[in-house]
Amino acid sequence: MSSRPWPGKSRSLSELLRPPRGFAPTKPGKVFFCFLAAVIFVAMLTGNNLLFLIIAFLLSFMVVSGIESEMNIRHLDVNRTPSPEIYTGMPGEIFYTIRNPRQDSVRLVLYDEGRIDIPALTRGVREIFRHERTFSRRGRHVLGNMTIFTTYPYGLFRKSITFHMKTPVIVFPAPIACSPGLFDGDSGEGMGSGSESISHVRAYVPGDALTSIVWKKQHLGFVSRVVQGCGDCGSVLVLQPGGDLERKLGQAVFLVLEWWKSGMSFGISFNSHFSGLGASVAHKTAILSALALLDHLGEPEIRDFPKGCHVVHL
Amino acid sequence: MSSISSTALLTVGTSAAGILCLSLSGLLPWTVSALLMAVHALVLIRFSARLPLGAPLAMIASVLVMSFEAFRILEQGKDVMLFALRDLIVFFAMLRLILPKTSRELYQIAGIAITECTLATIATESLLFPVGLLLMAALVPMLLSNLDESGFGEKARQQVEPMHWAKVWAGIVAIACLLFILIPRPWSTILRQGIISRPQTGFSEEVDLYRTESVSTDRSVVIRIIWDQGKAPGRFYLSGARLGKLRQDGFTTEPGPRTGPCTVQESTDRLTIYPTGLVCRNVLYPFRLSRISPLECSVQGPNLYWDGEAPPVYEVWVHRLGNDDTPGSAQVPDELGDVAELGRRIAGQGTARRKVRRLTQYLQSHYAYTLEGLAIPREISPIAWFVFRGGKGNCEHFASALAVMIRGCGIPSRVVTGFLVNEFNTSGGYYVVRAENAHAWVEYLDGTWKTVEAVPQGRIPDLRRAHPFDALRFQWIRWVIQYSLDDQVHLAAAIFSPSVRTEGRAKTVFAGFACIAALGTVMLLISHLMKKRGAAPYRKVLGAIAKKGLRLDRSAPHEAHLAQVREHWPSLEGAFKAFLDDYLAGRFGDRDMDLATRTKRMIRTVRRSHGPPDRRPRKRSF
Repeated sequence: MSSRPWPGKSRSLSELLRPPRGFAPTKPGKVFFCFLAAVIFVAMLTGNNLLFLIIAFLLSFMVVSGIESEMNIRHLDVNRTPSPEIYTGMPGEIFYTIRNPRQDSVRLVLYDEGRIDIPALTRGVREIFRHERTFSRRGRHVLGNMTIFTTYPYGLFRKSITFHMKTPVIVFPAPIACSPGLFDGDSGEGMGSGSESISHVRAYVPGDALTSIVWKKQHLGFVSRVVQGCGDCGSVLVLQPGGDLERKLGQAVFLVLEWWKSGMSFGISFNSHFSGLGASVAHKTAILSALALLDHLGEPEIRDFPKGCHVVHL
Repeated sequence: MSSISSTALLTVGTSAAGILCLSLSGLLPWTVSALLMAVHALVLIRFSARLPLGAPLAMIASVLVMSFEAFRILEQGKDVMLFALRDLIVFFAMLRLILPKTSRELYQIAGIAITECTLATIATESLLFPVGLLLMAALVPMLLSNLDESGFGEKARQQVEPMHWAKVWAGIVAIACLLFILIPRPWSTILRQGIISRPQTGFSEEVDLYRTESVSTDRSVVIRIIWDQGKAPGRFYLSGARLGKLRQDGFTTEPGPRTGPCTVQESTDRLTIYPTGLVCRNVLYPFRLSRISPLECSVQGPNLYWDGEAPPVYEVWVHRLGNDDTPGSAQVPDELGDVAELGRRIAGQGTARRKVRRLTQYLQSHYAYTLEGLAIPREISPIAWFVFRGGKGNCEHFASALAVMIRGCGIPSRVVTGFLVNEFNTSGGYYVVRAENAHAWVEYLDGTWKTVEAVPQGRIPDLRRAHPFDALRFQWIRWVIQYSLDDQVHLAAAIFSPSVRTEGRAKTVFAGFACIAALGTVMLLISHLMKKRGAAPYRKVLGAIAKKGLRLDRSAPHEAHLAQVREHWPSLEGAFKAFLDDYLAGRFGDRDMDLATRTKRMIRTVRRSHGPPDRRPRKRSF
């Protein structure tokens, strides 16, 4: 999302009246203010014109500082793009693209969920910065306004510009590795039963592709048997109600990622939702998003899965 | 010297500028300043050295010094307060400088230097002081900027363009001048407030004929006079006090009721008088006074006194041939009867004017003028001693003797004290009155009061000299030190009503401000031109590409240009990318590039190529 402090040309009255910049003195700035106040007091008390000259210089110093800092942060164009895959409890990357088309900028600090120091921006050059953030819960998050401030040029005042933007982020559940004996599923359940395509079954050897794994309801357990000779079949994960939802979602995410990495087609079904089969990034992202936004689990309503696919109940 | 960091240089420079301000204001002797500068130089060389002076020891030293200064103030009174403050600040400045320094301490050093500069402003009228002030205004922003960028590394430092600081300084000075003119203030100035006790110099209302010390030859300027209206004379008398009462020990003022100043409207000349270096309650003016502004003064006898403190500037309207026929006295005490008798014998017969001329010639030819102190015995009248025994004296002796002799002829006379103004500064167009110009002369009543000089005339030549430095100093005193609310009102009146008489001064102020604004504009223009010059190679290349049919949006970033070239002119992409890399590295990076040669080469490449395929003119087939 790209934003300027006042996007577009139509500014409301409140926007016009509200100063678009934040202003706060730093610690040396506070001392500077106190000193200025003291000199003004003494000057008014004594009427000493040279003290008025000092006051004029101090105020002039402030004015020049304000002009310089304004020139430094004016015309900034900022984009914020979160990483496409962010998982709960894991550091997720948020990318910031900053550009000043008019002039060089120096000593900027981007403050959004954390602090990024930007020593310099060359005029017209788009620079990318990244920041890692860990989300504590899954679901839809909105990254709010973003602030860029600068203490340039003299470090006495902190002038900030706030970019009014809302960037939605969907945080996926953290993947939880599955353990043997976890699943209670029927191989070839429903219309997609693919048992006829199995040539033979052997014990699992580490490194076997997940596409070759057959899921057995019986005591075979997870990754303990490998089906060889299976054709172009996919897998459908069916989420059943009951148990710890978060854990179940984590395991589902783990399976989806594993399936996607192996290149096989996969799908997911829960409540009244069935994602269909697919192996693309968009498909995976859609499934993970659906899992991230899932509130509760009911009995799965859809049982008509494509023929030949493996159905895994979770 | 290459090992000295910019932070060290700026920090020590700022601290030294603070010391310099104190020196320029006269608060710190130059010898002490030189010593402190040497310490600064040592600190600059060993900026990061950790001296074995720990914080506890520094604390103990601070407490001792503070106690000493407090004791000094209690002992010697508030007169030494400024100097005690100076000592404290200098002590803390040096202590901060030699102790180990982190970022916080560097900020403190800057703060102490600014405080030194502020303290110096309280005490100074020196024209040299702005040098220190401007040095502070130049160094403090650089130091603060340096401290601020220290958290961002080298990249932020390299980004600063060459003309940056010139623009900043020009901006600070220009805005400061504007603010100084506009900031409302209650009154002015340090002269009125008298923070620094200023000894009265030159002029004294009463004559002291028993003076044993030499007459002052102090050449410091005490009054400046602008002759606003009327023909400026070569020399004139600036009267302060008219002494009409004669006693054995000389002439003195006549007590009388205090009344308002005369406000006669007829005048031939108008003068503006700036008693910048003089502290006295007498209103000084030449000829016959017609009108005065401000009116806060009152007449007492033949003299005019300020009701309160003398203003830093006042205007007088005078008449050269004014009809001042107020009565005078010709009474002579018995102790001075011999002198009066001598005068009567010398004057002989004739008109009053002729008699006075004879007496003057007699005095000027028979008596010696001296500035040295005289040991006159207290039991004898100093006038009689001068006439009959000493034979030499200063202007007060001459004037007193002449006045007594004139009275001996039955002509009322009096001694007048003030200044003989005989020096004109051609650079500033004003009269300069120095402390050594303090003088005494005689007035006698012959229908009206006439002025006569008693001392030999050859000793006081008319001077017309160019003193540009004093003219500058006068402008500094007038428009900075003495700039007041009245001036602001006059300035505003001159802006909104050009017919106001202060238009001339307003013009001066505007001219000064216009010069500063012009200077700032020139700086900005130079900076703009230099920026354009820096960007010129790239624009030339864009122009060459445009001539071949591919117009690139100049406001677009470089990468957009490269993308457009890649899309529309693939054969040029390699050369353009190489040029762009060199250009960016040369302009914004730390590599030295011969951009001119590379630009020429790139333009040649563009010209020799056939242009973008989709914009190439198609060959006609017949």
